[in-house]
Amino acid sequence: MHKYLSIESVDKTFETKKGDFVALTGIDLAIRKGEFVTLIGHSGCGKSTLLNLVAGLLKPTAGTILLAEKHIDGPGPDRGVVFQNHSLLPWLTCFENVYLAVERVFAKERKERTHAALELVGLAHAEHNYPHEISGGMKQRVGIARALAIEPKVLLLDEPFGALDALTRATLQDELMRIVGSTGATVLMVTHDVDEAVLLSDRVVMMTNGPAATIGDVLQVDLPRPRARLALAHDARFMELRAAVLEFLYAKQAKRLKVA
Amino acid sequence: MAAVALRKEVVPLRTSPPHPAAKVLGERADAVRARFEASTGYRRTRAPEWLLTVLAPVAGLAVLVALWALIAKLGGRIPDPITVAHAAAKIFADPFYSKGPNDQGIGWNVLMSLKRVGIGFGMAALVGIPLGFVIGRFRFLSGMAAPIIALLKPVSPLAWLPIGLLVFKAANPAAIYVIFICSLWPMIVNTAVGVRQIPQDYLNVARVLNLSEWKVFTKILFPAVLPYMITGVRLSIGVAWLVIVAAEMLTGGVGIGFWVWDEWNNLKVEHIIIAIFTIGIVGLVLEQALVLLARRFSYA
Repeated sequence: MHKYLSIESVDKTFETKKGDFVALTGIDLAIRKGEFVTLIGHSGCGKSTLLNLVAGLLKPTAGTILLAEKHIDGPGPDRGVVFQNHSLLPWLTCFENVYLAVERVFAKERKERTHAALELVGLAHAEHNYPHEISGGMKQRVGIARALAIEPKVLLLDEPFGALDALTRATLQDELMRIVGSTGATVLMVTHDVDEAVLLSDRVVMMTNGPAATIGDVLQVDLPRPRARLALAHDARFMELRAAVLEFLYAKQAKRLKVA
Repeated sequence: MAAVALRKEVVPLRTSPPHPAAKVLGERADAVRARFEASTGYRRTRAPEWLLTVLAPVAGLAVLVALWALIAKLGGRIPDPITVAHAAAKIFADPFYSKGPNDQGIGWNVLMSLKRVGIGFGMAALVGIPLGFVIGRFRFLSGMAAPIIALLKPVSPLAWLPIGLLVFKAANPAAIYVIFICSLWPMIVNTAVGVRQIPQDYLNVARVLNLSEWKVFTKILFPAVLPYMITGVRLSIGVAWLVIVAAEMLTGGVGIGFWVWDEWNNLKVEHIIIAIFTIGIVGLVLEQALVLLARRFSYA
């Protein structure tokens, strides 16, 4: 298998007032070009930490991360990041928000590229609106457009639909499948939604509970693409895969309730 | 203190949907009113909204004038509203006359005071806003500035006046210097708070996009801090306008504060009352102008 994004024996320890906190240990993961991989696990399992390590917002305590054979050392335009809470700048229009990213990377055709990215997420008509004038789902689309506009080698999504209502979330999942299908993007996505993970991914990476979380199991999702949400709802294989993830999360890694 | 006032300005009020019971209660009240109107033939209509917004302030001002007239009537040496109105008509008929340095129209006096406030405040903005930025950005500098600001902020600006007179050896720069000192603190404090309040998300965006320092400043830091800065400016101007009157009483020259003192020496009490209203109206206009400016730059 050709490794495009390669996470090799990565540990992450945070220094806290109560001493060192081991968040992640012994993470090994290789992602092919064009692959869609999700990270799933209970809250506090360090899945967002792992994503931030790939984004370059955090540095690993041990181990290395390589993207297209290049060592990752800090944030860079070869990775497009979509944050959970859209993180658009409220004083810029949708166009200007995307343009800010585009002008950092490209010298030419900046306006065309910005326009194309917004068209890709179906927001050409809202270009000149400010973030507070559009819905939560639309904001998140602009966030995706901003990440895609710089034509990154890998798209990193940190629970991108976590703050949306169920119906909007489903629409955006379909949209994301379409965009990824048409652009052939390599995607690493953090989620805590089992259906979302199985529906979107080629592989689901299941993480054990923290502290010192690591990869517990990896599930190959061998459902053919394009995938249709409604058809899959009755698909036996989909059910099986879904059950496998649920099994991992609620039997093997059942979160013990802390009694406060 | 400044930080608290400022958050009130910036955070938009969250409008929550009405409680479900409110609809039911409202309908019930409507039904009761309809029945009452049907049985008595008496129809009580609600006052239109514009009437309330106009009538209430007018009524408030009327009460103020009535109280003033009453006090004037009860004796003492307070002139009544009509005397003052006549005097005001005379003064505002020619506000920009000039008969030598000690006898100028009220217009010149107000403009001179505004000029002093403008210069002192402008210099304070030039110093205070950049200082606020660096104090907000670097924790060590913030730690250094904290005791200085805590110590000097509660000092009455007029306490600085003798130092100003000593250093500048003239009344006018000393008054400007007092305005500078009192305008400085709100701008430093509010700008620093604004810098500290920038959401981590925006800074993460800057990091993942690898924005240049200049872009970070113009596209993220400055717009994010701007509403806080404007609040600082508003508080500063408010304080400066309060202080200039007192400072001018002490330094003399041309200015609305000196004019008040001069009219006191001439025992023209009606002029003092005119000055009080003039100072109030100018302060009101300054405040409202800055509120409008702040509204322009809030991203709700």
